[in-house]
Amino acid sequence: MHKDLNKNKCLQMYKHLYLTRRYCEMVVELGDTGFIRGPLHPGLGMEAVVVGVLNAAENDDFIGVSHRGQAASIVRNVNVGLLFAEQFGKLEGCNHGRGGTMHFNLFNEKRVFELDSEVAGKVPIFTGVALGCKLKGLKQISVVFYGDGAMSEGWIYESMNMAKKFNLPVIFVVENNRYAVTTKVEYSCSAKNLTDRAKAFGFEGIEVDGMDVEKIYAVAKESVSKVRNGGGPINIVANTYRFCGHFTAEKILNLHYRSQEEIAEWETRDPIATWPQKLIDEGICSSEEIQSVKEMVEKEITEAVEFAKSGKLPKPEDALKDMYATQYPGSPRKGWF
Amino acid sequence: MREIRYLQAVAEALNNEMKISDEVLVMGEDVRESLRGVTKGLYTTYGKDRVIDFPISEQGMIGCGIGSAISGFRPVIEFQINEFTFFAFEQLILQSQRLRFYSGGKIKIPLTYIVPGSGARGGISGQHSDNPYSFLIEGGMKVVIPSCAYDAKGLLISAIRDNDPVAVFLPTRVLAEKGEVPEEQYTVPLGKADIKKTGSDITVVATGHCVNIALEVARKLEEEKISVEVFDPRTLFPFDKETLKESISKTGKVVIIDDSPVSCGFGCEVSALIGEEYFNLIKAPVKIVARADVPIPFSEPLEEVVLPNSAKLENAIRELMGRTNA
Amino acid sequence: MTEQISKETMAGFFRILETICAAKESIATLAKNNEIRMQVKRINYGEEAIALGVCTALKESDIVINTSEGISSLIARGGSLNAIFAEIFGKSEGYNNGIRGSFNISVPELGIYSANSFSDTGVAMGTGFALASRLKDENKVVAAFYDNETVNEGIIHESMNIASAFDLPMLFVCKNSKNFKGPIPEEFLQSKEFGSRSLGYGLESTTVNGMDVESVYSTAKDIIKSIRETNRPAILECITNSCREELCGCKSNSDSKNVNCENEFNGKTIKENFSKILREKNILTQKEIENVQTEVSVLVKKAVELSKAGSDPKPENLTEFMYADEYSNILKTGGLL
Repeated sequence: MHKDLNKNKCLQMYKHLYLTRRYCEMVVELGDTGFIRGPLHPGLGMEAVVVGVLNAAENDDFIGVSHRGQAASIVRNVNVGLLFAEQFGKLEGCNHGRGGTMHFNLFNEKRVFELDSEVAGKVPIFTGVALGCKLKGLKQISVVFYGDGAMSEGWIYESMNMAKKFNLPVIFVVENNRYAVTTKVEYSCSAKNLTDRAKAFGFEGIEVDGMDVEKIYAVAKESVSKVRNGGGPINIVANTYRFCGHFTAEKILNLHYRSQEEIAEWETRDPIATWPQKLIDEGICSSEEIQSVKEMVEKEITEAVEFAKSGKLPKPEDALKDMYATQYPGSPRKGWF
Repeated sequence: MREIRYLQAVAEALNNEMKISDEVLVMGEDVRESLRGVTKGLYTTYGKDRVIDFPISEQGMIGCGIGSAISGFRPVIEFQINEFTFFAFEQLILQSQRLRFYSGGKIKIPLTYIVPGSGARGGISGQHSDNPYSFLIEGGMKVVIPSCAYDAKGLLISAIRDNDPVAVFLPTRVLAEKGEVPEEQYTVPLGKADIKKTGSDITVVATGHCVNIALEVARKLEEEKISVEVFDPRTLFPFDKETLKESISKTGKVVIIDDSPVSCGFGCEVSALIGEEYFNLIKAPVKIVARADVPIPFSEPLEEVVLPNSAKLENAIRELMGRTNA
Repeated sequence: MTEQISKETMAGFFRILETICAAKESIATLAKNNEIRMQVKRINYGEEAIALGVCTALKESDIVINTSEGISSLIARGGSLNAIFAEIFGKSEGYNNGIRGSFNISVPELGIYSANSFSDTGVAMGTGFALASRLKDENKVVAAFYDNETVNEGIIHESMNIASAFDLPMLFVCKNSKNFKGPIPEEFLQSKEFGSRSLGYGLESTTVNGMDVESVYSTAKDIIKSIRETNRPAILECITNSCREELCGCKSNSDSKNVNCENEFNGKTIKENFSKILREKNILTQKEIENVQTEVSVLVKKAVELSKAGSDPKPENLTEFMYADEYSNILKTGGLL
């Protein structure tokens, strides 16, 4: 276990894991009961990757996450009420109801951006953020998360190339959950090992067990340090799994791309179920302390949902606001005479 | 005649074309499991050499489609999300649409692009709610947007049989609609509009699911003795201007309702055509009811505000008819 | 080299090389005198051996995807000088009815296709030809060229990944010039590292001296044989010192009589070195070499004369060029026709 992982740190990380899990489960429930519109993309089972990496990074590092990356906002202590409110489309939401479930933009406040209605678009953007850090001589780094499916996009290649050539402080984290909706990674990715993509550009690619939050923390801590000290980009490939479907609509679509046995096997490695016992067995913390965290999380979730339910919907006049930073009369056009 | 859903009609059209001709291939992401429903069962029937799942590489996939098309296949490329134009504009327009031209007409590229579930689905906001067909029309690509199950089957078959790239937009809001659809393969020709409802007072040019909005408004206004003619172009490009001319000659007034951004959109295209070639046939300015020039916001009240709807269409018609809400 | 190249083949290579060089010199002169609509600074020298070696190693039924330095491939595949020059003059007798002009000419009867844009992204189209060949069991190989300018484009990544994941019979030929300067930053031009990107796709990459006709031919022949047998794509990286005025900054092409690039190699040098080898190996005497040069010169002159007298394409044909299936009034001409 990494030397940093004392009781407080472990309990904090467990809280992040458990809060993320309960947040996602609650989102599905609220979707089923009509409070949240649209198909939802929870990341049940994948929490450890973002939690582990963000706890290893500094709070002012820049983070770009995927549509299953709500853990990032949670690690950065965003009140989950703001996230629920955003998903309800309320004014109190973190983006005033404008962005919804796939666009949590807390870049200014917390340096976190969940920008992922399309899988790889944020990678060049966060490579650019790293360029900004370097040009301004900042000590912060940029960390960007994307999936195994997104690895096939051309923009990843372009970003990795530029990151290496300009020696940028960026960490590319691949959340390899083995499936891009229904397409297996073995089918779509021709590299023999996923880390070969980074090695092809001459920088380090590290593979890690994405269900083991301690291992992720250790790998991330070392990578963050190297990158911050001017070592250039690093690629971390975290092997993880989503217990739920790609999105909530999968239930009715009747898709059969993986077996129940496979899902059950990965569920036995669920860190939220297995890690607390390990901590208790190793004497890091007690079962009462774990229970206390759980109760705190349940209370937070309940309050957050109430906050969101009581929020206000935006006014129709708000629809055309915020398109431009510099306004000119007559724009944007309304579209109906 | 039996009634089937729009999506079923599309799936049937594709399945039967694949049966008729070995040249027809399906390419896309998650087409084997059929995430969107258009390709359901095709993999089981036709196998891995005709139904091909691609990695998430839109540009690479279209390029592959282009090469296969030049080599004698008829690939049907399905795009999981509407905004493919933006990712893959280079391959779509610079290559697939222009290669024939630059070869001096020596090659043909019989590609079909399908966009199942185009337009706003409700709650998917900014990047999954577009109708990017104006960009394609500007690039010279043929574009069709069937509004009902009958047209959907016929137009898709025509698109596949056409020897140029054709983009087929299947609006989200009509996918579940039922309609009478013949069992045999038949074509609805490209470039031919359809009058969905005859009328004498005003022509409403409506695209995609806006046809249903227009029909709903027409039924309401019928009670006030306002006779609305609903003109469904079906093919946005090449556009059937002869049929439009006939309609305008009758009514002399036009409102266009279209679910894409107002600026440089399809509505502007038709309006300019009328202004230039049929000016002497109209008695009032042409009105356009379209999307606001903003991406679709997530929150429900905001989403509804920026999209064209029946209230806005009704207001436009009333204003042109010179009457207020009696 | 696994097998000796026959004297007849070598003599044939010389004729092709001489034709390419003579054609280019003529084009440079025409451009300089404003007799054709092409800029002198766009003409490229130094990649002739690559096109020659690869194209002659392919079978007639194989496919070539060209870059904008297309003239070498056109001539190496037996293209007609008359049709090539007619196209460059924009005449209807040209290979593309005078519509394309320049070097991005597609000639279906020779199996040569060119993508449309300056950044030469035809590699993706190449995967389609390879896929079609596999589906129809035609046993073709597709050779797709790309160079320093396009090597960092995401579409190269996507195409290589698709070719490798689907076992498509493609040869990716990277023309890696040590000479490219201009708008491309220095960091992006290191030689020999483009081939190493093959690791990201589980592919083999071979590096060869792109200025040496025999090396390129023999290596390409071996690799193409292997691709045909295994359907596994491969990368051939050809190191060259090509010169294109707008990128290499010298004025060599401006005076076609005195192609004297300050850089070490260029097209003239390829030809001079090859002539030397032919004389030393008693394949051609100096007299025979000069005879070929005279013959070729006559052919090039004739092509230019014929082209000048050619006919302009007719505006009425524009619709047919644009669309294979016509509908009434389909092409709007902005009121100009």
